[in-house]
Parts: sequence; structure tokens; C-alpha cells
Amino acid sequence: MKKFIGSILVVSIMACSLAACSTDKQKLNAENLPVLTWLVPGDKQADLPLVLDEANKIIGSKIGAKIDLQFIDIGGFTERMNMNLASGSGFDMCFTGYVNPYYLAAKKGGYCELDEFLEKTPALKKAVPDYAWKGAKVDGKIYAVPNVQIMANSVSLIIQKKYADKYNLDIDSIKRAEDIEPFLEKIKNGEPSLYPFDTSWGVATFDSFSKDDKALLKYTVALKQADGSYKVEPMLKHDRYVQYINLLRTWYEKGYIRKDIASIMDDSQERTAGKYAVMVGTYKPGLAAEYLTRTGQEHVVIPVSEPVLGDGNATMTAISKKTKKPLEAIKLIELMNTDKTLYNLISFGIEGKHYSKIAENRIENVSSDKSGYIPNASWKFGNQFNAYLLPGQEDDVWKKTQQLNDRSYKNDLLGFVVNTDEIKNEISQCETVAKIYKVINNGSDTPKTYLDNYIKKMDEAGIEKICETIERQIKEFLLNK
Amino acid sequence: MKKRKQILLNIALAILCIIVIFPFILVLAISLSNENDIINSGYKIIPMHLDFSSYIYVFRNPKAILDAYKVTFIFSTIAMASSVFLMAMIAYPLSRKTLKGRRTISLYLYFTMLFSGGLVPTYILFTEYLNLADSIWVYILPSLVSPWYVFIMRTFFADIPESIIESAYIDGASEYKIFFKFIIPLSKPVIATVALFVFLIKWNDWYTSMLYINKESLISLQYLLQRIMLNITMLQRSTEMGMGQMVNIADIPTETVRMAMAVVVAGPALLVFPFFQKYFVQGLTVGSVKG
Amino acid sequence: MVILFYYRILKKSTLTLIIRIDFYVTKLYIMSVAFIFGRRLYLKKHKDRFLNNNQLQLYSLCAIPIIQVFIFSYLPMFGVIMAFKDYRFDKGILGSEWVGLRNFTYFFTSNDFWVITRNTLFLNGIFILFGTISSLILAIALFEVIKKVNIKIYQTIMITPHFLSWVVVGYMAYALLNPEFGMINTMLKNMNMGTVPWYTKPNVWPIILSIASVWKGFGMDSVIYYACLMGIDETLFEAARIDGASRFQIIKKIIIPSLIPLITILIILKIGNIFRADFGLFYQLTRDVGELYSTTDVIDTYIFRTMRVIGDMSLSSAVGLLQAVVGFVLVLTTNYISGKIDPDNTLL
Repeated sequence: MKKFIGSILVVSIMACSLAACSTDKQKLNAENLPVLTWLVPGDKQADLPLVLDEANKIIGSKIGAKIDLQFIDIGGFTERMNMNLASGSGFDMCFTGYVNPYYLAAKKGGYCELDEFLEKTPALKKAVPDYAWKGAKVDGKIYAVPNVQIMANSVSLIIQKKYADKYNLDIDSIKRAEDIEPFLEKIKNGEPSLYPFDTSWGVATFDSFSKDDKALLKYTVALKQADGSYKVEPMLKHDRYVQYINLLRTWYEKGYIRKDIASIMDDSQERTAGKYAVMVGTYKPGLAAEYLTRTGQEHVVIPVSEPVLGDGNATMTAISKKTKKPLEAIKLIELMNTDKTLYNLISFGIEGKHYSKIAENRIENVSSDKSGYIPNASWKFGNQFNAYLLPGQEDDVWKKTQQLNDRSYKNDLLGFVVNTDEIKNEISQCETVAKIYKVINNGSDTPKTYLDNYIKKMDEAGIEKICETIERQIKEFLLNK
Repeated sequence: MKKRKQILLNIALAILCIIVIFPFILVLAISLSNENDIINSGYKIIPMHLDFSSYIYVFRNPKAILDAYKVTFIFSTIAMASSVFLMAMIAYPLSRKTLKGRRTISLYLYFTMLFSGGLVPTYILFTEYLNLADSIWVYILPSLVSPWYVFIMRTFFADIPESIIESAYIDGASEYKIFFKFIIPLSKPVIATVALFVFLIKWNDWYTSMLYINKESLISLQYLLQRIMLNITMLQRSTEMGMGQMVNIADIPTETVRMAMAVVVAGPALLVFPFFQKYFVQGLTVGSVKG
Repeated sequence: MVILFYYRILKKSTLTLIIRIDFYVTKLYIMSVAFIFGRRLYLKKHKDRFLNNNQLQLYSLCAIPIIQVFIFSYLPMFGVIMAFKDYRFDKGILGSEWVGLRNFTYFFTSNDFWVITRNTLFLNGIFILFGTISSLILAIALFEVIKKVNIKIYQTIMITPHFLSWVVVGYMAYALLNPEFGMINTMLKNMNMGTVPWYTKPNVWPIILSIASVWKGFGMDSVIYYACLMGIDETLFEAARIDGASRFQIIKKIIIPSLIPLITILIILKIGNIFRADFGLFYQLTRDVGELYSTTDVIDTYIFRTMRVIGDMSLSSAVGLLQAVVGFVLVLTTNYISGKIDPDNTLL
């Protein structure tokens, strides 16, 4: 019997292959326009083909091309992108950001240099502010287009409103993160089922360094000197940093931080369920509205640090180096950044089907069970300031965001990224040490004994060499600016 | 005396079973619990309130699950049948000591177990040159011959008494005839075992889907469920880096749903196992064949 | 019936799924099938040269599998040169610069090299040891049970751990070992014995990891041994019983010897992978907690962390190659030793 199955299988494989040879592989492309593949992380959307059809009408008429936007699962996006970059095919444009780190891919030649192309698309160049372009440079060249959205980094405390009201929190009195301590005490005493403080940001919650300084690699910091040059030091040797480590420790001892912080890996559930009284997040206008949508609870957002412009780690759109149609690609990106209709079409779907318009710029999504298109994608490409307003967002949220970006502090080191080639060994060793002593960052172990050990181990791991190398690189960077 | 020994043996095995299955029971219990109970009072072996909402959530998109089941079943069975067949085809010659170059072929096979080009060249080969991306064949073709199982089969085939094969030669049978008429029927346990293993490996394959498949209709069952877990990991990392906007936390399924997924994933495989078991427990008498 | 079933499924898949097979693959399969059938016809005609025919027949049986392995395993192997290059996306594997052994020196000169190597070898070693012993005992125990129903139940239960992914097992372990709410610590608290902070004590983790490894694998492994036991000739047992041998003697003289070839092969195969770690086990179970690194950090987890920061693909390629070479040397050695003891018990 097995013999029969075996031979049937072989024959069928043959039959299939013969049949397949005659199957037409490509979809018939009616107008023979070049198709641009754009990869973006996200969940697959059922109505994507519908939306793309509409979009292609616009794109076809304006730049004579077609878009093939593909949503790739976030969990596999990094691997997929690595493979696409390695094989040199599979995409023309892609999203870069935390799921697809920009710097390394650009450095290893995965993306196209955009400087000359940008000359051909002046509208795009204008749509993105200058300071953002600076942040996108690698070795002096631009390899991706920043997506216009919130770019300023500043720390904010996010407090559940009902507890802020209950304990009469005086919002105006909170200027720095540590000012929240009395409130934490009240929460601890009054609400035993809550964790008062969410320490996921660790010492970064506090302002250990001035806005001229820049933290690099998680354990070193570049400190601006009086003469404009930079000195690079391990964070551990910095007094204020140590001060905040100790502060976190006292908070742990006082019970503001959950006891099992060292070993939890995933607390997303508890976040949604509102187990943390005070959380930490990047500040942006409309943040409270977001938390309201997500958790159903009102929150109070208090910025506790000065906004500083972030750089290459923000979300951007890059073009593959091996693409055959770079000019069309950059024109498409320009269209996404400037054409409001197209951008909103792709971000939100088709009017009437996926959302209803409440006012000129305001929409309301059709309920998520019925809608075939809810990509939550307006920040993944284009110019978010053109986006329609969603329920909960204030009318001027984009204006405020732009103002925040504009007034954020632009550090001298904007666009500087550490080149890890010569210090690979030291970096992995320091990473390992940092991991071992990670607990320092959330307060769950006694700093004094730990700290001395930590410093010693870091020295052994070669942190001094790292600091010297970075200093040198910074000098070069500043010269070439 | 014998009875007492049997009873002791059975008790010992039963206790072992309880220990072994305990984590799985825990997973089951959590999947049937209420989410808030978990957050407030932690894991419990007996749920405080029975709650099937996690399973409702997992199966909320029945079409996707059915599609995935269909695809996974198809490629798993095809892969199982062809793989076992091909592997037996090479294991049998390797078991014959008279084969010249036996050592070379074994080495040829074994080498691939250790040395591999890595993910990048494999990906390039599959997508650029063999055009396997986004097709069902990418699940089946690549690992049809696994040296591990070939060697196991070879060991079994070598055990078959030489006398049977000798007598077949004398009767003028060709190697093919020996292979089909004697070896395979005599090796039911090992063939069933390897078939089972191959089936299960294919059934549980999610990595292939993640890398090579774009079409929703072709994703494997495991990937359908695993990708939620993978997405969670990514999203967690984004929270660490303060990229709050990327996390639509309401999308992250709860603890109970994750456990429900684990149960759904493991369940069918466990149900398949008894089907293969009858080949093991059958026992084999060489004498009957000889007669 | 079954044939029709299979055929219908295949037909359905051709119709409902878009199958794209490259011309080369098609050609190859047609060629190899033609080769086999053609040979068969040829041999039917020329039956005189008996011995040579047999050899050829055997070779022809090997033909397709060998081709299959060539396409899917040997062709990508050329990519191993990535380990010796400074890989860049735009230059590809072939075009990137040669840097010789630089990627390897990175690995060897790292401070952590001894720790991770030691951990990898030691932990994998005890996994192999305990795993083999436990699955053997289990297989023999199952073999002794008379009631078939019981065997089925036990086996089905024993293999369930195999189906839980390490992510889920990580959650389970956490439920047990959680310093605050974990089941073990709660139990200890109730017995007034004080809690143990499991996740900060590196020394107990080899044991924890071994238990986890055995728990997950011994059920499935015992199935292989059990299948072997099922294949033992009944008449041997008959003869032993007639001779009045005790159960214990039967085990010693019949069962164990018939299992030895299989045990040897499996151990040799596992030794080949001794330099590679089961990533899920080491990463998920330990929650990547830094304090446990001294006893749980292995090559694969170390490289994984490095890749996150440095992202150099040629690096991981180099380490992979290293793992393969070490495994290969160990296998050849073990194979040789095994061959000396009993020439039949070799892998190669």
C-alpha cells in the first residue's frame, strides 16, 4: 500500500509541477505601471486591497506608479527585514524604527542614499523640518526620510486621575519626577492593592544629566564641557546618577516599587488593568487621550523634563538600495507626506466604510469588530500632522506637537551614533555586566555593595576603552559638522 | 507476585504522570480562569471562576482558524508521507552492510546535520532561486530528508534478521521488492514512530510561516497562534524604550488567552498520538511472516 | 480508499492554492523519477549480473533523497563563507570583504568566553546524561506494564510536555518560582521555612534547567526506545522464560543489549549538538535575568544579546560555524571510540 501512495505522490508532484508551469505567476497589471512594495509592521487588514485600489487611483494619476503596501506582523518584522535586506529583494520601501533598527542597516549598505534624490523632491524636503534631517544622517549621508510626528523626547508622569483627585495631588507642584514622592506615600498607605510607582524606565525617569549631555549605549554619557567639547564617562561615575539610584532604592524599601520587579518579564496586563498608580512615558500632546482610549481610565499627564529632540531612533521610511525604481519610490514618499487625501486614506480607510466624518478634520472609526481596516498606522509613514483627529484628541493636538518639536532642545550631538566596530568585545562584555546588575536600575538591590562591584566589573569589561573611543568619534563628528 | 509488581509499577508510573502533567493542568486552569482573578490573586490550580472567554477570543475568527487547520493538515500529511517514504528509501540501502560507499553516504547525510549555510543563504535560495515563497511547498520540500531519522531507521532496518533477506534473494527478488514487500511491513513500529515525529514537527512549524508566507490563507496553525505571542514580546520591548504610541495595549491578549492558545496548539497533536500508538503496542512476530 | 483520499487532497491543493514551482525543481524531479523507472526497466532486461544489479538498485533507491539533500542542505552551505567576511547588505555574500578569522577572534577574546563555553558544554552534557537515563528507564518500565490501555494513557501523558513551547513553560516556571507569589514559596511560607529568591541564586539553576530539560524530552525520547523494544523478537522472550530467567535477568540480557545500538546512535547524534544550546530553554526559563548568567549563560544566548546591540550577521555565522566544527570533531571522536568497542555501533 505504501508503494502505491509513494508512486502516486511522485506522479502527483509531477502533475502539479506541469500544471503550475502554465499558471500565470503575475497578476495582470493592466496599465503596466511600476509597482512599489512598501513594508510596514502591523496586523493584516482584510480590506487592504480595497483601500489600495483607491489609493492607486491617486498615485497612478500623480506619479505614474502603483503601491503595494504590505503589513507584516510585528513579531516577525525584524527577521523579515533582515532577510529582505540580505536577499536584496522583496521591498522598495520600508519602515525603520525600533522593530527595524535604522542605523545598523544603513551602515551595512541596506538603504539607498537619498541626498541626490531629495533634490528632485523639494516638497518632501520642506515637509520635514531641518532638525529632523540632521538626526537621520549616518556618516554625513541621509538614508531615510523621517516620518513627521512627535520627535521630542521628554519624560512625563502619567497618573490615574481618580487617585490624583482622591489624594488631592497638586499638579502644579510637581516639577521634577522626585516631587511625586509624597503622593506615592499616600498611595501606598491608602491603596494596598496598587503598585504606587512603575519603574520600567528606571533611573531615566529622573533628570540625571543636562540637556546638552547625551546618554549613549545605556551606560555611558557624553558630558558637554565648557569649551564645547565632550567628555565621555560611565554613567556610574556621575554623582547625580548615583543619587537617583539611591533614591530608587529608598523607594523600593519604602514599598513604592513592586517587590518582584527583578524577575517579572511582562506586566502589560497589569498596566491595562490600572495596577500602577504612577506610570512613566514620553510626553506628547494628546497622551492623556491615548491612555483614555487604551485603558478606559482618565489620566493626568505631567511633563517633568525639558524636551530634547530625538534622532535616528524615531520612525522613518527608508528605500532599499537594490530597488530598481528609486525615483518613483522617493516620489511616493513625498506624496504620502504632502497629499492629505492619500495619507488619510491609507491611515484610516475609506470614508463611510471604515470611518465616518464628524467634522472637517475629525473622524470616528467604525467599531473594530465590523471594520475591515484598522491598521493604527498613521505614525508608520508620512506626515502625521495631516492626520484626521480621532475621538479624544484635541483640535490643536498637531499644532501643539509641532510646537513641541520646534521648541525642543537640539543637542550638538544630534545625529551622532556610536560606531561599534572597534569596540565590539568591550560592548558585549559591558552589556553582559549591565544585564547582571540591571537591578540597580529599578531599585531592588542595595546600591552601595552592588555599585562598587558593578563599577569594578565594568572596568574589567573595558568601559574605559569604550569611553575613549566614543570621545574620539565625537570629536570627529563635531569637526565634520 | 506478578500482580503486586504490576500494581506497584502502575502506581509509580501514575505518580510520575501526575508530576509530568501538572504544568499542563496549570495552563489549562489558567486558560479557564477569569482574568481579573489572575491579576489579583495569581495563578491557582483550580480556577476561582470558570471563564471560557479566553477560548471565545481565540476562536473569534473561525475562518482564519479553519483555513490554518486545513493548510496545516494538508502539508503535514503530505510531508509526513513523502518524508517517511524518502527517508526509508535511503535508510534501507544504508543498513545493508554490503553496500559500497555506505560510509561516504552516511557522512554526506550527517554533515548536513551540523553544518549549515545559515539563515541568509537558505532564505536567498528558497525565495530567489526556488520560488518557494508564499506557496505551500515551502512547508513540505525543504526538510523532507532528516538525517536524524534516517539514522534511526537505519538502525532498525539493520536489526531485521539477515535470514529473511537471504531467502528473498534466493527467491530472486530485486532490492525494490525486498524493500516494499519485506522491510516496510516488518518495520511498522519505526515507520509509525518517525511518521509521528515528522507529522508533529510539521504541525508545530511556525517559523516557516513567519519568514516565507505573506498570504493569510497559507499561514500555518501554529503561526496563527504564535504570532500573537511574538507580537507581545516585541511590544513589550517597545514599552521599555518608551515608545508608548506603538503599543495598543488593548490588543495584547490577556494571560488567560495566552494559555488558551497554548492548549489549542497542543491539543490536536495529543489527539493524533493515540492513532499512531496502535502500531507500537501491536508487537511484532517475525515468525508469522516467515511462515 | 486512502489512495483516492490523498489524490483528492492533492488535486484540491492544485486547484485552490497557487503553486509556483521553479522550472529547475520540476526538471529535477522529472529527471530523478525517470532515472528510477528507467533503471528499473533496464534492470528488468539485464537480469544476469546479479550482484551488480543489487548494488545499482540500492543506489537508485538513494538517488532522490541524495538529490533532495543536495538542493536543500548543500547548496545553501556556500553561505558559510559569510563567517569570514565583513558582511554588507549591498555587497551581498559574495561581494563582501574577506576578513579572515576576525569574527572568530572576537568570540575567543571575549572575557565571557570561558563562562559561556563551560556552561554550554557542562549543561548540555548533563542534559544528555540524565535525559538518556530517564527515557530508558521510562521505556523499560512501560514495556513491563501488561495492560495495553494503561500504556497508552501513560505514554500520551508523558509526551505532553513536548508540546508546550518554552515560552509557556517559562510562565509556568515563573508561577512556581516567583519570589512573592510563586507556589513553591507560598508552600514554604506556610511551613514557616522562609522564602527562597530563586531568580537571584545562580547555583541552583543547573538543577532547575536539568529538571526542565528532562521533563520536556524524556517522554518523546522514550517513545523511540519503546518502539525498538516492540521490535524485539518474541521468541527470544519465550526461550528466556522457558529457561526460567527472572525478569531482571531478562532485562539485563535481552532488552539492554538490543537497545544498545539505538542508544549509541542517539548519544552520538546528541553529542554533535553539544556545543549548541536549546535557545528557548535557556532564555525563556531564566527570564534573561542577569544575575543567573554565571551558571546559565550559554553561547547562543550570549550571541543573541550581542546581535541586538551590534547586529553583525557575519558574527553569528562565525559562531554557528564554530559550533558545527566542534560538534563534528566530538562526533568523529565518539564514533571512533564506539567503533573500537563494537564495530556495529557506529554512526558513520
